[in-house]
Amino acid sequence: MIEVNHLVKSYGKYQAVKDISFRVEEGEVLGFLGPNGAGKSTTMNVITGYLSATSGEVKIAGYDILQHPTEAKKHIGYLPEIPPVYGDMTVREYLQFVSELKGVKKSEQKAMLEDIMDKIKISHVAGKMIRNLSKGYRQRVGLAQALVGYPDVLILDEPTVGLDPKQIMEIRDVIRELGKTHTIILSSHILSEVSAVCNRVMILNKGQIVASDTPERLSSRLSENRYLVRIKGEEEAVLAAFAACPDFSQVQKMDQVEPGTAELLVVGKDGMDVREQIFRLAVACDFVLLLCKSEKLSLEDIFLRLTEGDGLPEAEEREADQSAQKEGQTHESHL
Amino acid sequence: MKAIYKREMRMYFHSMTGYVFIGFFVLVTALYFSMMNILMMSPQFEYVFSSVIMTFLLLAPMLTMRLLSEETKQKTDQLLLTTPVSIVGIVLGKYAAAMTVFLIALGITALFPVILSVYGTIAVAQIFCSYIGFFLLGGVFLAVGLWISSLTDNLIVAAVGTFVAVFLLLMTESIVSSASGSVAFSLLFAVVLAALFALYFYNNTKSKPYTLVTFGVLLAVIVVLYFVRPTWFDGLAGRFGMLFAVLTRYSYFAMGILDVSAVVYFVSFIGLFLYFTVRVVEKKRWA
Repeated sequence: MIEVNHLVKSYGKYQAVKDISFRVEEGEVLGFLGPNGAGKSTTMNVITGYLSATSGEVKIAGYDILQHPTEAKKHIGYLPEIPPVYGDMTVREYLQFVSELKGVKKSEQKAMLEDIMDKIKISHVAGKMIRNLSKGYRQRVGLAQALVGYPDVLILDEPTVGLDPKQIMEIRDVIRELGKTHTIILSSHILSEVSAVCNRVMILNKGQIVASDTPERLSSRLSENRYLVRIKGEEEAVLAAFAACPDFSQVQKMDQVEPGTAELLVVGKDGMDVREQIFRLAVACDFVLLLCKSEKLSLEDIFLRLTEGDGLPEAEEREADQSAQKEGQTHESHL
Repeated sequence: MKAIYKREMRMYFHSMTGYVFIGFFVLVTALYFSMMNILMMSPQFEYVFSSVIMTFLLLAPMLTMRLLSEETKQKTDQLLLTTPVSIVGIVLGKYAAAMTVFLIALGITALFPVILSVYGTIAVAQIFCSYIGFFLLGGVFLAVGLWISSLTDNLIVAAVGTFVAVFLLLMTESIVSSASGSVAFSLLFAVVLAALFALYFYNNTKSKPYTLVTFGVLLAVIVVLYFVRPTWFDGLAGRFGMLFAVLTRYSYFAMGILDVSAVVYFVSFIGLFLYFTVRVVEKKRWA
C-alpha cells in the first residue's frame, strides 16, 4: 500500500532523513517511534506530498507521490502535527470545505460528514467555531478531516498529543477501529500507545530506522535470557557467588526489594538459558531461591537503548558490551 | 479550485474585510464623483477613476495580505497541499476570490455613470473602456499582492510589502523620468541587473562555480554589446523601468483607446505574477 524506497530528505546540509526504506502492507498499522527530531514528521510530510524528498521515491497504492500527486493524494488522509484547521470556520463548514477539496460528490457529502462526526464524537460541536474549541476537540476535528473522503491510507502525526487521558483512550479506540479497515502510519513518542494500537513498530533515530518489528517481538528480541533473581541471604556473599560462576556473562546488583534478600539481574553467556544454572548454583551454595523470572525489557527500555548514543545496531551491541564491562568493574569494586 | 474560491469568498464576507473594502472603494469613488462630476458639472467619469487609483495603496494589501501568508502561519497549507488540489488551483482560486470582491465594488460604482447619463450625455464607450482598464490595473496590483503574501507568513510584512510594491508601480513614471540616460549609468545598471540575476541563480542552485560562470557570461555579453551596439545602452535603465509603467498603459484605456497591446501587457503581467506565486508555493516543498 505504501512503499518508501531510499528516502533522503536534507535541509541544506542537515540530513533529517537518511536513506529510509520500508513497506506498509494493506491493513497494517505501523507506528513510528522516536525522540524529537528523529525525522518522524519529516518522513510523514514526504509521504503525504507536503515536502519533496531530496532523493528516493514514495509510492501510495502504486502511484508515485511526485509523478502522480493527484491520484496518490486521493488515497491519503493526513493529520499533521498541528491540526490544519481554520479558527474562523465552524466544524461543519470546515469539514464541508475539506470534502470539497477532496472532491467528494455533493450527494454523498452530507451522509459522509454525519458518519465521520459520529465516529469521532464531534457531532455536538458541529455548529461551533473551531477557534472556540479546546485542544482536544481541535485534534479530533483534525482527525475527522483526515477521514473525509474515506481514504484507505491514514497518516497520523502524534494523534493523541495534547489530549487528556480519557480522550487519549477514546482516540486510541477510534484508531484501533480504523485500523481494521485502513492502512495506518502513526507517530508517537508515547510507547504504550504504539504498542497498544500498532501491529508493527519502527523506531527512528536521527533520521534512520534502528529497529522494525512487532511490539512483542521487539521486546523479546532485545531481552532474551535476562533473569531477575531474588535470593535469601547476605547481599555481598550472594553477589560474590554469582559473579564467580562462569555461566553468566553479567551479574548486576539491583535495588533490594525485601529485607534480608539479594536482588540480582543475571544474563546468561551467549544468550544462554541459565535458569537451571541459577538453581544449581543456589543449591550448591545453600541459598534459598525466592524468585527467578525472565526480565522483559519494556518498550521504554528498548526505546532508550536504541535511541541513546548513535543508535546503530552494531554500535548498540558494542555499547551494551561496554556497559557490561563497566558493570563488571563496579561489581568488582563491590567485592 | 472551486472549494478554495468558495472559502475565500466566505472569509471576505464573514469577516469585515469584504465589506470594508467595498465600502471604502465606493465611498472614495463617490467622493470624487461628487467633486469632479456633480459639483463641477462634468460628464467625464474617467477622471474619477484616475484619482481613485491611489486607494489601491491601501486596498490591495487589504485584500491580498492574508491569502497565502495566513495558510503558512496556521499550517493549514499542510491540508491544502496534501489534498488532491493542484497548486495552480489553489493560487487561481484565491486570486479569483480577491478579483471577485474587487469586481463587486467596481460594479457598484457603475451606478455613478448611470446617474450621470440621466442628466446628460456621457461617452459610454470611453467609460466602458476605462472600466476595463481599471479592472486590469487592479488585477495587476492584486496579483502582486498575492505573490508577496506567498513570500512571508507574517501579515504585517505582507501588507507593508504590497503597499511598497503598489507605491513603486504607481511611481514608476516619476522614477524613470529622473533616472539618468547616460551610457555609463546604463552600463552600471546592466551590471547590477546581471549581479542580481546571478544572485537569484545562486539562491536556486547553491552552486558557486556555475554562478560565477553565469555572471561571467552575462558580463561578457554586456561588454560585447557595448562594443557592437553602443546605442543599445542609451537610456537602458529608463527603458527597463518602463516595463513596469502600469499607469502609462492604463492611461490609454482612460482615453478611450482599447489598445490590444496594453490588454496583453496587463494579462501577461498578471499571469507572470500568478506564475511566480505558484513557483514560490511549490518551492517551499523543496526547502
